[in-house]
Amino acid sequence: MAKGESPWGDPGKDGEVGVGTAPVEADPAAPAAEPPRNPWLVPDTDSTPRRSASIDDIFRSRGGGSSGSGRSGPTLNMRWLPWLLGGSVAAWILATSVHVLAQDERALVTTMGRYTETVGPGLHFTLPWPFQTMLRQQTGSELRAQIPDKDAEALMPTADGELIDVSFQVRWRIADLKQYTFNLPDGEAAVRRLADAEMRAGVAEMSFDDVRSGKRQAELQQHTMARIQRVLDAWHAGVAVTAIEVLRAGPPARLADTYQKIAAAREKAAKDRDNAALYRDQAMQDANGRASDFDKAYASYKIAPQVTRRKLYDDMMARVLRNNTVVLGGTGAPAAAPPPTDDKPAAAQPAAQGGQ
Amino acid sequence: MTSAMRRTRAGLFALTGIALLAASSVVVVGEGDQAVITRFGAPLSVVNRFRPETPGAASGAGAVLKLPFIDRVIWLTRGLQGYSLGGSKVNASDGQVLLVDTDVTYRIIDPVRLASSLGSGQRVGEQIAAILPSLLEEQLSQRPGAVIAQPGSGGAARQVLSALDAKLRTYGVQVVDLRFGRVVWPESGQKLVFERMQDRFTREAWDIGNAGVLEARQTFYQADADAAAILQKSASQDPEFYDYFSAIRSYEANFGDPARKGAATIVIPPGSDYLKHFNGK
Repeated sequence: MAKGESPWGDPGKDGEVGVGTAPVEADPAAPAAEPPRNPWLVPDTDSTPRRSASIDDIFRSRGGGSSGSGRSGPTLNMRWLPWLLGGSVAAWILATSVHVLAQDERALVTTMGRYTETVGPGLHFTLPWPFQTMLRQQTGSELRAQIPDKDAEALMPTADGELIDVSFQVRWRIADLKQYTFNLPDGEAAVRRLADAEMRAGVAEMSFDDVRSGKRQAELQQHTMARIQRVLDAWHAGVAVTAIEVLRAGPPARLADTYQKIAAAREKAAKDRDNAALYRDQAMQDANGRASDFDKAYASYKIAPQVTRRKLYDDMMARVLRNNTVVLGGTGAPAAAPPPTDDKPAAAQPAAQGGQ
Repeated sequence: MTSAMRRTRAGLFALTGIALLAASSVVVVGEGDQAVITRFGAPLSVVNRFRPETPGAASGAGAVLKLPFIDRVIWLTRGLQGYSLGGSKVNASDGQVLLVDTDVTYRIIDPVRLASSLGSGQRVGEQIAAILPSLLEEQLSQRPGAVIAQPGSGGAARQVLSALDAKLRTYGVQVVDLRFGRVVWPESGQKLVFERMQDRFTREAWDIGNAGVLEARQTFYQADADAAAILQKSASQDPEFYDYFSAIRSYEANFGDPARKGAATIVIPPGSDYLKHFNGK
């Protein structure tokens, strides 16, 4: 009887089922017909009783203990079991069939593994797992990949045989979630690889100065982006590249010092040019000033030559004498102080004293 | 009580058994997977196989039945997969040694062939890693280093792609894309490049500085010439008066500057022209 109960013909289960050797009436009708057909049972017939006996004993002693302590124990368990089971099933259904998608999310619904539909933000119901599955993904926000990682140096050969350190960022979006999920399982890695290779290809077509100076950076970015997009489209990757931005393009780190000299030289050259320009401006201003002074003087000279000459001379002398020590009537040797014997050189006297 | 327990227990066993049986006999193949079902090791069927001729068509994904415990499933990726082989050493035809990174994108197009030859999708990478270096050497060693560093390496990428594709087809794998990512010189080769770049930068810095100096000098000379021309234009009106005028201006500027008050002592002899009238003569 005990052996016959096992629907799977697993001899290991015999012991457990054998607990209730006496009450047989609960046994389902089907297994009762099985014993003769069960192929596994045949070799076991002589050995099982001995083995199962010990297990039976254990169960019996346990069962006796529990029933002795309180008969209501198992009954209570039995009563709660359906609720427990029902509750967990309900929770499971709730958890796997009600879905709320946020504003920037989309999700793929698959029925038994097969793609059914793509849904957007909002409340959605599906069959519980494992019948329907929802794969959600943020599609609204842009994804970014910086190449190379962090501060690593990526040296790329340029068309003129130099090495340039380029760091850039790819920004992209999931345009077709179905394609992105199923056609390109490692989407981000693929985008990174592709972007790196295409950027290198782009850099290799330009000269060091073109890439570094930024003169052709826009072109490089545009070009690389178009190329990546073309490949991704051919792969049906479901990816839309939004932008490629060169973050850094410069000489290799170990040449930075030497490279700095170029900037310094450029600065110095600019300063030289500025100085020269300043000198030129001053020279022009000076020449124009002198010329216009002369032109004015000449205008009056043309009208009154005698007076103009005399006035120029007297004005000059006045300024010279006013600002210097004047010795009158000396023999040519410098005197300590002008002898103010006369009151006639009044014009020169105060000035001379002021000078001392 | 015991009969209820027994009934429940039997029910649980039955449930578990059914679940086990179902788990073992139902295969759920997702959109991203291809599954090869084998019986006693021999491939029986392929579920959700990728068809290159109709890549966008409805797939064969879904649930299929198999014999429980007997039929086995080999899972393979349906989509594109990538493999990167980094730093393969390549000898260029001009003697340069280069390190080449290769990015391969492939797809399993014949799951049965793959399953029977390699047994699992993970081993495709091993095969690529084993095959690729010799193909790279074969193709790239015919080209000089400068060409290898160019995008596509002068057509080498395309040739390596087709050679690799031909070899991997025997495993049911199609190579969709192959490109060389990083192509660099190893440390010793890089030193030469760096030295050359250093020379270039130094020369460039000197050129820039020198150009600045030359240009500044040119500006100085030009300014002087322009100033002279301006004055000449005015002076040519009356050279004699200009001579007088600029002499007077010069005296005034040099001796009459208030900023240098009292710097000079001027001795005026009684017989000088300036005092001609002062002396009352």
